[in-house]
Amino acid sequence: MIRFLILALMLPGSTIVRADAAARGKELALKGDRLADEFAKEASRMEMIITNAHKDRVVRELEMKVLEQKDDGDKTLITFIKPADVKGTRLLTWTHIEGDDDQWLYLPSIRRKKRIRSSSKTGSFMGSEFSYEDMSSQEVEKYTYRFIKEDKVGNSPALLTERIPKDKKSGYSKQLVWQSQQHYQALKIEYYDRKGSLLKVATFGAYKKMQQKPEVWRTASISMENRQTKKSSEIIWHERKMGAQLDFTEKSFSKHALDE
Amino acid sequence: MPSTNRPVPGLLAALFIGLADPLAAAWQSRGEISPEVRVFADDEDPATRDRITGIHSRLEGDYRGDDWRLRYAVTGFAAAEEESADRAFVEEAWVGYRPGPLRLRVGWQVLNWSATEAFHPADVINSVDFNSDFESQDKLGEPLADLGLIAGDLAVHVLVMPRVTRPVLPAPGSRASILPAGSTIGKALWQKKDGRVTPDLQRSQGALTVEYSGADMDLQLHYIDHMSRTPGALLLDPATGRIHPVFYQVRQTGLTLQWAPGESVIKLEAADRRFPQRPDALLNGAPVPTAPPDHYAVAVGVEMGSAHDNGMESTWIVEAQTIGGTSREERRALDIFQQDVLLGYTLNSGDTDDTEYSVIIIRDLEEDNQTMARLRYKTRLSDSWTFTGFFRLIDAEPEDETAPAGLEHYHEDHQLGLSLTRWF
Repeated sequence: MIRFLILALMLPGSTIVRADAAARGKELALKGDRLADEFAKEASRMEMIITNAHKDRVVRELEMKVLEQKDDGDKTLITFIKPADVKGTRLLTWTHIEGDDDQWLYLPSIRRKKRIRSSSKTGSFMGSEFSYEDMSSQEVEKYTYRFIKEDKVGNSPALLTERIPKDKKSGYSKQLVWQSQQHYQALKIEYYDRKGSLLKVATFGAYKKMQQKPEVWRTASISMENRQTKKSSEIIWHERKMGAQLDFTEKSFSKHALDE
Repeated sequence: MPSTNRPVPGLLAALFIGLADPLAAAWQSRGEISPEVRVFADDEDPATRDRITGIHSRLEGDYRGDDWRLRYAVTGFAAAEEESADRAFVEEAWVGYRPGPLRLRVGWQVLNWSATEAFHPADVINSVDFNSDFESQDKLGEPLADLGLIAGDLAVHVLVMPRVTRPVLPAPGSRASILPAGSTIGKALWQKKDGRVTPDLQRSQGALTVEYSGADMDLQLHYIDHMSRTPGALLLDPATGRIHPVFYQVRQTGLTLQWAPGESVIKLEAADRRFPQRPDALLNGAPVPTAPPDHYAVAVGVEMGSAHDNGMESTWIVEAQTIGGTSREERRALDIFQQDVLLGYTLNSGDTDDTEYSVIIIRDLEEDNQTMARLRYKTRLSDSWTFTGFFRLIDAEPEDETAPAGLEHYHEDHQLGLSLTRWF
């Protein structure tokens, strides 16, 4: 009886604590989102360095264009530059705030525009430790949140939040995200596999304010280390440009224009 | 012009590059060169070649301006043993202009109207190289003007094709040939409105497509009035002793669909083909065969897959095709695959080698003597080199040895193919 009373007294309190933690976690995600969004357009050249367990390295090159959407997730067009056998291949992603993203692959050698299964998101992107899911736009509404504590990443003060993908087809059971207390962008993310074991750790490089008003921050690199296979991959951004003045428009992100 | 043993395509490519020299910095190019060998099971026929070795090469280039675009792609194969097996053709050589929502492209183009992986009833516009694998034939560029209007999720294209591209017919002694042993193949002949046949390539052809690409679904509807690129009949010219493939006018209404409702992609291709019947005519006294019967063809497929914990990825494909509106005998003459089902599985390493193992099995549900299987291995050896190997088995013993049909032409044409490709 006493145990029941104690539980009864505790439950509302723990519910409030959970609700607070969820609200704080989402608030932090939204803050991070606000300081990463409203860039209108973004173009960059990316270098992906893939290192296997024996420390052998290969380099992949990509061009990426992103078009921000007002009422939905961003549209992203990635063109493969290197290796030569996939040069010209294009991956178009329409990220949605909720539900499955739309993805198409254009194969220039056979001029085919192929729709990609949404279940492919857990697959490796170009043989790297980044999955298609990691490469897509990280929309706030795709996760539930729980703020855990204030923490540090190296010497940088950070805020630790757990986020759980709403999508049952996600390759992850949960992610632990350390956000900067300065600009609320991720400094480190731990990815846990569907069985709950630590799978990968992403470490983010130095951030730069790319746009003053509204404020937009971007990292120079992301290093992804697979703790289970000991393989790692790093994306380094080059020639990053941002703003409405960039010379591509909505029509570049149409499936009809994939062969343009 | 695009299919020839002469070096015209190479010259054309050089011309394009030369014209664009001031813009060279804006050009992007890609090339490949592949020593390859194909070995067939011995058919005990000295007139056929059981081994083909040679070098396949391909060069493509792109110039992208603000609204302008130039593109070329040329392909060639130089055979080691026999010069007559050499071939070279233009896949693409066009100029594009894209003001606002409009898009105009003029020149030799290859179009892909397919949705499914193996059976392609909708994808009919280009002539093909009949020396290539019949389950994935290499396409030749078709000279055409394509005017498109893109408005949001919709795109409408009007295509005008004033001239057909002569297909690359099987080389003498090729195991891809379906002609009786010892016979000589003649030029492709095209039937005219008066019923006569001609090698003349001038033809009035056109097509209209409407494409929708929206939530979960890509749909394309098309109507095309052109010369069919599948030979409708073979005609022996008594004056020369040559056997000519004859191609007929066809009006096709069809669609392709790719639908991704969840973890799978559902694919559909359908075509209804109407062949105008022409007056009786003769070629040097031999009657020109009548056009094929009107018919429809439908292919449907589903693709599913998953990523494994070790990083590898599996893809399963199930497809089926049916040809209808004809008798069984007519159907047998229309296509290699008629009432077939395909099961396919691919395992991808999911790493930087992009190693892929795949197997497909195609079985005719009506002709229970027809089965084909193909095992394929592909891997990236380095940033510049890839290796591909395949083994194809065909078991399709003819019901009537004197009149094989469909896949029966290739009974026991088991084939091993190896190629090493240098990319640059």
